[in-house]
Parts: sequence; structure tokens; C-alpha cells
Amino acid sequence: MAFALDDSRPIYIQIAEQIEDAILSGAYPEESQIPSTTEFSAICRINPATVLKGFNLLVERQILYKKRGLGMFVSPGAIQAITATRKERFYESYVRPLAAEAHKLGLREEDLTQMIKRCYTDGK
Amino acid sequence: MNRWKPVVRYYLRDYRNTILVYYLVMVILALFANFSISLSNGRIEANINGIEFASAILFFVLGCCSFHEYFRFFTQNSVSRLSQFRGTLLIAVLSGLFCAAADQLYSRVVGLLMPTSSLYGMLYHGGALPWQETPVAILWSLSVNLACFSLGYCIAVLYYRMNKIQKIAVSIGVPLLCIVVLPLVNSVYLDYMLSRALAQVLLFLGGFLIGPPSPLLSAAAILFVACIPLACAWLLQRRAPLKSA
Amino acid sequence: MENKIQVTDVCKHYGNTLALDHVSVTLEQPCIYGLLGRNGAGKSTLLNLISNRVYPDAGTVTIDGQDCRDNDQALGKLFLTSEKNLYPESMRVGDAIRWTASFYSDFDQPYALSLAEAYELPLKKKIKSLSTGYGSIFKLVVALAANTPYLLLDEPVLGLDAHHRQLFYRQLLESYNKNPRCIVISTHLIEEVARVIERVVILNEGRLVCHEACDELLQRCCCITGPAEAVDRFAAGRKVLGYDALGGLKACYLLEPAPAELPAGLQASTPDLQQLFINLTNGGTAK
Repeated sequence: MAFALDDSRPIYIQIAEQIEDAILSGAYPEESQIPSTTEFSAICRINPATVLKGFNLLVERQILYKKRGLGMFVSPGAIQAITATRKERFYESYVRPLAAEAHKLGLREEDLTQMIKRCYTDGK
Repeated sequence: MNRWKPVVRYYLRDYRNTILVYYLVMVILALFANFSISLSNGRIEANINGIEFASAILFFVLGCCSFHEYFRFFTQNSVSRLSQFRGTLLIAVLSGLFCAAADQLYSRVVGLLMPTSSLYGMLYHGGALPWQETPVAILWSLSVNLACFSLGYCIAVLYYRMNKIQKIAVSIGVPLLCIVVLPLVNSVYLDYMLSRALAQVLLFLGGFLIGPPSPLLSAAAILFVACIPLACAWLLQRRAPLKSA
Repeated sequence: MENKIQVTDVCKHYGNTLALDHVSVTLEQPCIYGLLGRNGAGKSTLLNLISNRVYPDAGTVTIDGQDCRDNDQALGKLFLTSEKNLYPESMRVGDAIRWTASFYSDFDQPYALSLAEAYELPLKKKIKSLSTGYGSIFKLVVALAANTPYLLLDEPVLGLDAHHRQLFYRQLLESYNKNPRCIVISTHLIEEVARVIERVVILNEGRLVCHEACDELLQRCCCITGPAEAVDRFAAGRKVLGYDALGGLKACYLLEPAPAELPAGLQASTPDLQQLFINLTNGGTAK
């Protein structure tokens, strides 16, 4: 088993994102302990220093916190924090590329709005 | 770190088997000779003399075989060349001593069955060997063994360091020199001076040249001479690169 | 006490060929290094010099501050596996494991035996008669169990099938996590090893081309793709490592981070380590 990692972005960022995904999906509930760097490193076959970098990124964002001698735990309110950050980044991460691609294909703003409406009525 | 200890232990494992087989063969030979004598009711005479000579050859062969494979194995295990050399020297001394003692024992035991003499006994005591001379005999035998070992070992290291052309040149050149060229020069141009010089050297090494026959002097001289190939071996070994083959 | 291998200004000739040309590199603990280079770049020579299997023509190598030449204490901290099989002809796998234990005081024999079992390595078989793959496995088992502060692996996965390679990387990391030390992996399988290593050392034609943290190197570079003329215009005056072209579509590798804003039609991406390596050793340098 290995997280699906690609070469487009630094590995440690992808690790951080995948942990965030796991927190959002409930795989790692709040206040629970996540696997250690050693476990991540061995299972995903990634250098432990890289894993630690990913963890530290999440500690900085206060998604995770460290309990001395025990390991990394999911912060209370992490789900809210992740959701809030992603909502902010939604425009940059998804909407702008969507608009750029649409522009490339010659779709107009109305076509795009129609498609989004259709998506919601189709029930995702 | 004492890395020469596992070196010695490793050599011991191989040497133990070789030496055991060697003495087994010697024992079988003695038994066979004895059997022949008793079978023939004394009409067949047999004696086994000078076992040290065979041991010397054994040590020469051991010396020849104690480098290549071991150098590679010890280098894989990060043993420095100095520790390797120390270990090799130590095992040569230990096994040389063991065989020297074993040879004297052999001569005595076989001497109970048939007229037998050790080489040492033949050289210095006209065949017989008083018991109190045994330590000196062992020392002398040890020096001969070590000398042969160091010669064999030096040849082994030399061959390792040489490239293909040099090997061919030496393999053909040296025997040619010794068997054809030198005897020719000796007899035709030098009026057998080389032979006389060689005889003098051998007499000196045997301790017969200066004063009464002295086995101790002989042992000292042989050991001194043994240092030369040993020193050459070290000089060749100390910066020997690990080769592909 | 310094905890590193320091290679200073080493040169090595083999006959008329210059294998290493004034190479200086520091290998610290704990870290997993990837030693990369094309065939004949000097990787094996460098590893052989560090472990005193050959002598440099110039320069020094120190291990924890001590010169490595003829120094048992320094050399005992090292274990090098290479393509060459240096074990005696008649030696069996099990014997080799036991003998290595007597040469290395920190050797973990139970671990070695459990690894051998995991790989289904036959203990009674002669080393000479192992296949290429199993020969490599044997060397890996001994190397990982040796627990030396410095572990040098020269082409460790030669002949290993995909399953065993995966197992190897996993066990390497487990061993590293249990006992963090300096591990140097010299390999041609760059894609596979890219995530396992922390720092990368690249040699090209006997010279050191690059020596830095893997992700820092990758972030320092970018790949710009788009129509050929637009790419050329963009790349003009910048540090270019190389190009790939497919008709009118061109990709260029730059030794610069991708700019925030790109001209229309151009896309930026991060090259992977293998692509970067190929371009760095094709005449470009990272210096």
C-alpha cells in the first residue's frame, strides 16, 4: 500500500495533503494519534525526513500537534481548519484553472455556469 | 580494534583441515611401510626419513595459497592490509610451530616401527636424535617452515600485483633463467663459480660454515633470510588495490 | 568528534583514464544519500576509495576524522557491497553470515537470518552458485545486518525483481528508522530511489556536479512546456539544462524555480529526479 504520490509537487506537501484528506474523511479522527514517521516511511517507502517535513507543515498550520514521547495527534478543530483553508484556496486551486481551461477550449462564462448548474442538478 | 583475531581464526579453519589431511597421509604412509615390512617378514626394508622436508614443501604451498582468496574476503570485511598481514604471519608461526613439533613426534613414533630419522637428526646428529635436542629441533624446523611459507606468500602477492605481461615474463623467464641460462653460464663461462657460491650459501644456512655445526645459527640464518621475501610481500601488499578478477 | 566521511580533493587514474577529478564531498550522519552518475562517471571508484579498496592518486579520505588508509578502527565503521563477489568459492550463505558477525561487533545475526527468511535466501547454498538476483539479496542481507555507522551500497538492486526491490526499499527504511546512520546508495534506478533518498550526489565524467538535498534541488528547477517559439523566447537568457521536442511542442528544463506568472500557452511543472539527472549529465551543470 502506498499513497498515490506523483512527481508534480514536492513529496512532503503531498504527504501533508493526504493526511488532511484522511482527517476530512474521518480516517484519522480529531484527538486521535496518527501513525509515526517510521510507519509512514516504511509503508510508503519514503525517506523519514521527508515524512517529518510533511508533519511539521501540518503542525505549523495547527492541524497536528505533538505529544512528547507519544507522537503526533490530530488537533481539535482540525477538520474546521482544513475546510476553511481549502475554501480559501478553492478559488486559486480549482476555479482559476477551470476558467483557464474553459478559455482554452473557447467556452464562455455562460457555458461554464450552465455546466456547473447541470452538475448540481445531476446530483454529483 | 583487534581485527587480526578473526583473520587468524579464519585461516585456522582452512589450515586445520589441510594439516590434518597432510598428517593423515603421512600416517597412512608409515602404516603402509610397516605393513609391507611385517608382511615380507623383514625382507623388505623401508624407512621414512626427513619428514621436515615434506613439511617445508607443505608450507611453501600454504604460503602460495594464503593470499588471493583471503585478501578479497578480508577486504570485504573491512580489515586493513596491516591486520591481514599480521594475521597471516601469526598463523604461519602457529602452524609452523605445530608442524615442527608434530614432525618430531612423528619421527619418534615411526622410529619405533622402523629405522627413521628426522631431517634435523640427519643433518646434525648423524641419524640419531637425543631427547634433549628436541626443542632445538623444533625451533630449527619452525624456521625452515617459516622461510618456505614466506617465499610462497611473497610469490603469491607478487603474482597478484603483476599484470598479464609481467606474469608471462616471470613465469617463463625465471624458470628459463634457473634451468637453462644460469647453469650454462655457470659451467661455460664462470668455471662453476656459481655452484661453489651456492654451496657456500647452503652450508652457511645450515650452520656448517662457521665453527662446529650449529643448528641454532642455522635457524637464525634461515629466519634472517626469510625476512627478505616477507618484507617484499609486505611492500607489495600494503598498497595492493582490490582487482576485479 | 566529527561524524562524517570527508573526501577531500581526490583524484584517481586508471591507466590513461581519469576516473575522479578533484572530487570533494562530505557524507554526514544520519542521512540517506543517492550517488548518481552515468556509466563510468566514477561512482564505484569513489566508493572504493572511501573504503580503502583502492588508493587515490591525490587527496584524502577521512572517516570520523581518521584517515581511512590502513586504519582498522575507521574501516570497521564501514560496510561496502559491490557487484564483485569477494567471498571464497566454497563458502555457503550461512557461513558467510556467521563469519561477518565475527568481523563486525555490531552485526545482528538474528536480524540477518530473519531477512534471509523473508527473501527465501537458501542458507546452505554456495554463494558462487546464487543467481544474480539472489547474489544481490545475500549482499543486502549482510549489509543491513552489519549495522555499521556508514553503509555504502553499490548497485544494490542489480538483478532483483520488482517484488524484491520493493521489499528492499522497505527494509532499508525500517533498518534506517531503527538505527539512523549514513547510507549511500549508488544506483541507476533513479525513479525508484528518489523518494528514499534525502540528499543527492551526482558525478559526471569524474567530477562532482551536484550535492544537495533532493527536494531543494527539485524546487530549484522547472520544466516549461508549450509551443516551440514561445518556449525558446522564454528560455532565452536563462539557465537552460536541456530540451525535449516533439514537433512544434517543446519542453525546456531550467535551473530556475518556475515563475509565478507565465506567458500564455506555456505550462510549468516540476521535473522528476531522473529527468533532472539526465539533463544535468548531458553537459549542463547545477553550479
